[in-house]
Amino acid sequence: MEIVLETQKLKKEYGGKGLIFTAIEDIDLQVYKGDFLGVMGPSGAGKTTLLNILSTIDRPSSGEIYYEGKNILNMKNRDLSIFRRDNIGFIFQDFNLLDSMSVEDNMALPLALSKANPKEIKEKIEKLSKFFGLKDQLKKYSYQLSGGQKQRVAAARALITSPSIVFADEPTGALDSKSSQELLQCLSQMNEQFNTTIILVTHDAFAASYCKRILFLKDGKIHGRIDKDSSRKEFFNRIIDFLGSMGGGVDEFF
Amino acid sequence: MNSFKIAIINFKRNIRTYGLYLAAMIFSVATYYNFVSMRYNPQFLEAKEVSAYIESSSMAASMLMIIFLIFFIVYSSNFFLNQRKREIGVYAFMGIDNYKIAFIFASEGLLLGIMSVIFGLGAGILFSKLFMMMLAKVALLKVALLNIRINFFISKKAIIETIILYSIILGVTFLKRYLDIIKTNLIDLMNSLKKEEECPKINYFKGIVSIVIIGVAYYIAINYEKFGFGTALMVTVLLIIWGTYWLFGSFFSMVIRYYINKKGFLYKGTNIISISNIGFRIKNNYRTLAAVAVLITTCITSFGTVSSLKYYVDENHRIEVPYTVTYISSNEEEIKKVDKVIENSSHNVELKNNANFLYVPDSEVVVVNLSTFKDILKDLKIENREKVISKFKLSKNEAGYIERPGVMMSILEKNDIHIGNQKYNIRVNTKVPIFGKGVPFPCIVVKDDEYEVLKSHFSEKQFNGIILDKPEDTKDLTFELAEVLPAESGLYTYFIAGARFYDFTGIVYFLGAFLFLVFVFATGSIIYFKTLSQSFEDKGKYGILKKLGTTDLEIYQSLSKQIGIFFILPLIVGIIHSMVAILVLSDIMKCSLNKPTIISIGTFVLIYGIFYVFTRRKFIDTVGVA
Repeated sequence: MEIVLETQKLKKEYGGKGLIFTAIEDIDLQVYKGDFLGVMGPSGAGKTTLLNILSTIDRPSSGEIYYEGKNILNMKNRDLSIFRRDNIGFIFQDFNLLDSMSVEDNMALPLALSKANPKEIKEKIEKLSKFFGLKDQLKKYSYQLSGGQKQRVAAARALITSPSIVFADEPTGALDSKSSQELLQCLSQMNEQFNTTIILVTHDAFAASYCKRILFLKDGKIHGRIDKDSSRKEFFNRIIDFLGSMGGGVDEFF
Repeated sequence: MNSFKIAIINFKRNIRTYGLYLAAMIFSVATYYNFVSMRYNPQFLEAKEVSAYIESSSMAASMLMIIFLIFFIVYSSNFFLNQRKREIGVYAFMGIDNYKIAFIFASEGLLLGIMSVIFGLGAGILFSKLFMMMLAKVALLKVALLNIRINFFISKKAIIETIILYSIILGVTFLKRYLDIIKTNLIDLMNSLKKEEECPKINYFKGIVSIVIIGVAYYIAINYEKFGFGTALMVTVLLIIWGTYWLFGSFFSMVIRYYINKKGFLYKGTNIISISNIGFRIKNNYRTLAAVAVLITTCITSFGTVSSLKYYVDENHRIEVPYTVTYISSNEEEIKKVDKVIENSSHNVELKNNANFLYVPDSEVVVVNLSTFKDILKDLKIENREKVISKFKLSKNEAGYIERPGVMMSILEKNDIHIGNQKYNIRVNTKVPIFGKGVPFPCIVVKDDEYEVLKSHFSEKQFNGIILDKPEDTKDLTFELAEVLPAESGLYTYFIAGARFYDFTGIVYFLGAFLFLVFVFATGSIIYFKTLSQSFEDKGKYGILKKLGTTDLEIYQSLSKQIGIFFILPLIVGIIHSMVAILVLSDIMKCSLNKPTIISIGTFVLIYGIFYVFTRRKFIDTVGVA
């Protein structure tokens, strides 16, 4: 299978002389096309740091990151921004929709910035709004939407550039359980129908159970990996078991 | 820690945010002090000729400043309060009661006010000598005050007056703030920043009507004669304010909405960010924008008015006083006496001229021949004399008509004129300097041979004009000349002309220019504060955009565009309003005011542009773009 994202010996340190805190260390991972990878771990394990580095928002202290074989750490800030815009999609916990724009304009934003043809943008909006069930909301503004709808708009925005990878940072964190489920189903379908590569960072074992494989982080290091090989329900139980074995107690994750 | 200490700590922490406000306040206090102190300046009081003018213009200028200050201080006080709502909420959350919080925040404002009064008075006193010297120089007080060395002078009365005025204003704002905070609810405070901003609805009716209202206002202003000046003025001002509010409230939102719906345009690079944000901002800040537009109108119009006045008076002065000394005499002895007096004085002669003319008592005009007329224009070095002379292609029965000096504009165009029993068609009608006010009659120019014919019917007189190198200092000379010349010689000097109207317009111009500066500064600050308050709200927005892969350059460009439009819309509206106002003014004054208008708009745009650059820099700093 084709490798989309690969890292070698990623390390991130914070602080200066004498007082160095290592957030992540020795992270080697491969993400394949069509992967749906979950990243779990207790607070302070380095999940967000890892996500920021993988998504090119932050730079590692050492190590290498390759996107489709290309080393992105050699890029300048400006090129990195453009790379991010064209190749990476984001879904955030707090939606991060722009409240000054309507739903359709929010979705159009990344493509418009890449100076795509307006007609093409419109077609894509049409297609994605159908997929996410947002057809009737296109003219609305974010304050008129429910949390679940907002997150679906964010997902549609993340997908509009047909990115090689989508990062979802606790996307269900601010949603009720029904909306969470809907969103996770959407992500799952995205993964299957469009063969979109997704990296999902979450606390929540239920959300993680939608992934195909899971990476556990603890104290900045990879603590273990499990792959889904059976039903979602069973996968969920295995996740819980693994978390239990990691120490720190199951409760922490609920 | 007591509440006053908290206030002081807050004050220190926020001093950077307050920087511009402080500067504007210090400038206003310093200016106010100088406005007041000039009416107590003993040197000015001694100069009897001008002290009355100084007193009344000082009063008027300080009154205007007070009105403006109240508006400015109340406005910025509200701005700072909105800025800090969340902080107030946090205090309230920690269990500090509203009275104490109100005290903390109100005293912070008071501290700021006290500081600006202290520094402002310091600056005012420090620069008072400069101010008075400028007043004496710029304001054409030359006649009365030329030889006076302006002394450094501290006016206790002015200091006290300034302190009293600012104490009242600061006291009232302290109270208002205090009461405002006491009234607020905790929940509103906590939610005030978290609240998602709604995109307001657009009222198409108001949008269209706003244009109609402004159109009607312009129509009434231009046709002021039909409605009566007072009514027209009142109605126009009210309609303009009303129309401008709706214009910003609805019309511009309509325009922006049009562009938002034009996806082909919107989905082109950063347009999508800029246009959406502008639409959002205009609608939510239309009151400020409209107020700024009205302020700009006031600024430009009033400065345009005072500079027009000065421009007009200067123009007229050249026509009324082309020479330093003029008299009418052909008596050799008298002429010699005059020359002797001038020789004995400290003056040097730059030009000595004489010319013959005829006086026609029936028609109350004087007549000169064409060659004399040409010579005078040449000697006086009139700038566009070639053009003027080229119009004087007179034939036998034709004449040129030159307005009496001091006339603003002739109401009736004359077609012909009778001199004795001769009738002449008037070929040209113009206003140029020839004899000045020493010969207070219209002047008729005829062909040289015609003049010879007329000469036999009327008495010929000799006009003598002298230009000296120090025209301002002719007070003593005038009295000496008056002794050697008989009354009928019509002695006229720069001193006689100058001691009247010119001083007054000079003072008005100077104070007007100063007020203009204060107003521009304050207008700039208001829009600066308003834009910056958005920068705090927008911080998150630009964080998102950066995460989504918007480059710093794109954000920079989009921000420049957004802030630019935010600045330029009220500017354009203000300029158009004031141009109509000045157009009406020039109609009333019967002279073209293009030059002063361009100067006042240019000055305003320049200072306003500097504010734009500063605001943009600060905004970009706040949202954190490299």
